[in-house]
Amino acid sequence: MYIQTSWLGEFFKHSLLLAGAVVVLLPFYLMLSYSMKSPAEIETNTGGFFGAQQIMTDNRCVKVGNPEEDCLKRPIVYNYTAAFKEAPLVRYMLNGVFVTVSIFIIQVIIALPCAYALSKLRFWGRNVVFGMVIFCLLIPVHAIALPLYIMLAKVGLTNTYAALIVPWSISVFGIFLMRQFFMTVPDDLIDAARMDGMSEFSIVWQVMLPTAVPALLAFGIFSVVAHWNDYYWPRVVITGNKDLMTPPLGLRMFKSDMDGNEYGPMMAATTVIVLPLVIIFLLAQRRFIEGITMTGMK
Amino acid sequence: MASIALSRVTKSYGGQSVINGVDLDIHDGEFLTLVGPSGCGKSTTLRIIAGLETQTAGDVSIDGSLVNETRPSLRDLAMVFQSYALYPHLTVRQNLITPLRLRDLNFWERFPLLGHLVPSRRAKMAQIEKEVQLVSETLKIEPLLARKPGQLSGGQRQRVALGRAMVRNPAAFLMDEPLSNLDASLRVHMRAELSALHKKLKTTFVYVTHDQAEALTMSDRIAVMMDGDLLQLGSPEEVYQNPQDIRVAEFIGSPKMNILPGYCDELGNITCAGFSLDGTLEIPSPGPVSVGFRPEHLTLTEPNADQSLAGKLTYKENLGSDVFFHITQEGIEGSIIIRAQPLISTPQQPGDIIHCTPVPGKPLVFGPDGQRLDFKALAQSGTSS
Amino acid sequence: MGRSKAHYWFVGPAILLMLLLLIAPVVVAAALSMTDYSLGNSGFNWIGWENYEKLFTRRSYSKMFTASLTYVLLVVPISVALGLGSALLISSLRIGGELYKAIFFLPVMATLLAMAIVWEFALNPIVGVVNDILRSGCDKSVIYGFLSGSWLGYDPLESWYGSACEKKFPLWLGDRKYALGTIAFIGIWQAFGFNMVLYLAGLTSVPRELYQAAQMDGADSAWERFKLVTWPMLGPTHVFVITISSIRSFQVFDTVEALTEGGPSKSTYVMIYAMFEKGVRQNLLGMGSAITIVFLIFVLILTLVQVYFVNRKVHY
Repeated sequence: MYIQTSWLGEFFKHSLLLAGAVVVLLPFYLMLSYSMKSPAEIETNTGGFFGAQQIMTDNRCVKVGNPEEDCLKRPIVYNYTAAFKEAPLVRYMLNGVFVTVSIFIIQVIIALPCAYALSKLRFWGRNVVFGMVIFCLLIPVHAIALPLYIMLAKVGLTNTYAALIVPWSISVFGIFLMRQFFMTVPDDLIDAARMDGMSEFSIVWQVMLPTAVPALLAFGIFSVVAHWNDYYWPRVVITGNKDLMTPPLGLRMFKSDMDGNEYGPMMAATTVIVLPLVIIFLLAQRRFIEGITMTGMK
Repeated sequence: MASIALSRVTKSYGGQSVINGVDLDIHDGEFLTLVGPSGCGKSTTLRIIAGLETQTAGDVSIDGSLVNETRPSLRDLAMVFQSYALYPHLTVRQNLITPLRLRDLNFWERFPLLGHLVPSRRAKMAQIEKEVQLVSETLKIEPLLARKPGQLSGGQRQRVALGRAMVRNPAAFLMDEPLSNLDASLRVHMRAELSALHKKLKTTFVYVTHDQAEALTMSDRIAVMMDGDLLQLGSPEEVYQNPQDIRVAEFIGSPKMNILPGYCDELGNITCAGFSLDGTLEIPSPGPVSVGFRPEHLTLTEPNADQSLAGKLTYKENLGSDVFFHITQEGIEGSIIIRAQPLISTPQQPGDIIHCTPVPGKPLVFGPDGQRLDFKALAQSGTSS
Repeated sequence: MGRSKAHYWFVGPAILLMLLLLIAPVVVAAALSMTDYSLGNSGFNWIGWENYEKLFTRRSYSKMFTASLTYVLLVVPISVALGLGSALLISSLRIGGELYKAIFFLPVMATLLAMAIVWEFALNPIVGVVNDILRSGCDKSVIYGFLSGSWLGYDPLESWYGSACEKKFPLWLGDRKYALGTIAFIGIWQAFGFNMVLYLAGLTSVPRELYQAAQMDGADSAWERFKLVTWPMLGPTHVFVITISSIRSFQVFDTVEALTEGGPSKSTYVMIYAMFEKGVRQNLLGMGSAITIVFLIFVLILTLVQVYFVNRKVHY
């Protein structure tokens, strides 16, 4: 291009973006920094990023009756051990993994055959079913949480894993996305598979599934990110049972359980919950951004 | 109307050189075609003339004045792009108006909404409308003026793109493979139309294509480019009959020229594929040479004729008006192609051994470096070139 | 055709689940919105439009609509503008574009609830860094002069910054004048990277030849080319980004629930939070369902507007 970006212009653009980046990164910086500092440093905003890491006394430990010299810790150690001791963080994380993975697998099992039928099979009522999918796309799942909650309560499923998973088992968006993808797969491929004697069932799982990997990956990233981060639905259906809590809900409980001054452990817990996705994101940035953009609807 | 001159123009992207010092004088009012395989630098050359890219070194001048630092819009050139690059959100009329609006209206007259209040705008817009009308009459696109590019066929878009270039009455037209997105029959038709348009407008046309047939049919002169070098500049006949470089010889002409390995002795006599050519090199260059025969410069002969080239017929390509024989000979890579009249060609069948001789005076000899060598046919051979 | 009854097995489960988990709840909500139903009660009474009447007459609900609409009207324009702005800047950079892209996208990925808690700490009026930073500018004359507008000839004490330096900086989430704005700020912080990525995708789909054609046509300045090519070519992206942002910001919940619980004095009482509070906390499921239905209608309208615009641009 002819536009000869001057160095001045480039400098100007970078300074604007840099200013934006500082604001965007501020909470991440604070989160990491607070998770390593002593309460005093947090309150007075001293100690730089890492804090001075001076040995401090763990008051809680003293209160329980331990001799004071056994309760001396570095702030970073104190914050993280307190986080794991005060809240079942590991349990929350395992719940999170279990719930998100289950949701994704069930969504694929339901959506893939349906998308295949809608794109490649001719049957009576196909357009009606597709119309139904389009109609359901208009319903934001968060909006109908209340009736779902009532229905789950009526069958006694609140405060179970099922309550966390079942309402998400159908992803009309997944059906839509997969159908659009399958429309681009040539019919010849399927006809060839039929000539080879494959059943419709094995066509779905042995022919369509492998070709759909890129779209599935995008959908998987979207689904996992959405449900790992989801706070609203767990908040509605899980009341008080810590064994079932997902990371965001657990963090919220941790926040109300802690007394106001425990910023350090609080931020340590936050770091533990936020970091896994952020790290995976940074490792596979391009895929994530593509996945989330591709599935940008909703 | 304008002449355009490039002198020692080079372009490199991060150390990768794509144009290595091109000198080119484009005359006022001529139709000049830059032709070459993809990646040869022809499009880049055109973009440098347009000002869309800046050359790494060298000068571009239009009508004698240096334009190295001049922005594209001030060079008074118009360009037709391969994808036509019409603004999809504007109607055909608005597309045609845009270049004039940007040229003739000042900042305030162009200002959204408020611009309509500037008094001088009305007269200028009326003038612009008139010019658009004129051009759309010339190109017969009046019925399309209210449509958007998305509602047009490929051929219609092509016309609109031409129209957008024409409204400004530029000093020269630059065209970057403008026909390559059309289907085959339309492309042939548009060649004739473009030639007619050039005759009518009498403006300089610089045309880029990878299709040697387009270059041969439309141009006043052809510039053959390869690997960033300008290999030969000349009229279509000259480039076809008298290629100065083996790469030009191979690129221009379809089917391709046959190139056979040959050998030159101390006296300048040349032997090739088992027979000797009836002629000598002006300046003998003993050693291996390459000999080129165009398919139409080989004629079928009787088996007993002396000095004939013999080979096995592998494939008969019948195009109706012509028949091309593909023959192979042991020790020669690929096949040799011979053009024959359909009437003479009937008896031969694939598998037969057939014989041919070159038309005297027509073989072209190239040295080991690919440069053309001066080869003179013997005087007694009846036909002179 | 003999070969397949397969489609019954393929679409059957999906149809069943759609009916059960998406369509039935809408019907149930519509029905319950006409009742005074509560979980645990044996029966309920049909009370007609009473819930809706309350919804449109009571002050607390008018506060709810105000909060939701204000939130949307703050978050959507700003996050869309920031998204477009950063996309334009990033796409015109020579180096470093990928880095900024990753940074700005980070909040989209990070658990919103967790980051909301961090923001709450940062915005804490006593120990939070935000007020700390603002306060530290008060005694640096350059910053003070700039932010208080005295360089423009205003009386520094009249300005927001000047008077805040004099008295005290806002409580942010604890002040009803600032709470919704602060929640919206977090919403913008979280959402604009998403819009940026959509705009970047939109920008790469603009053919380069169009820009070159614009240059040949005499669009010499970047602004002229933006007007002639970039802005109109982004048309479909605009529609998409604006609708998505609107629907998403209508659904704001995490930040409100964790940071303000609808307060102070209902200034952040947004719809989904109201639905949660009425329906789940107070067990007033009839009322909650009425809010659900109104919310669904809002989203439907937004989607129809989108469809209208998408169809209008079909000739692209």
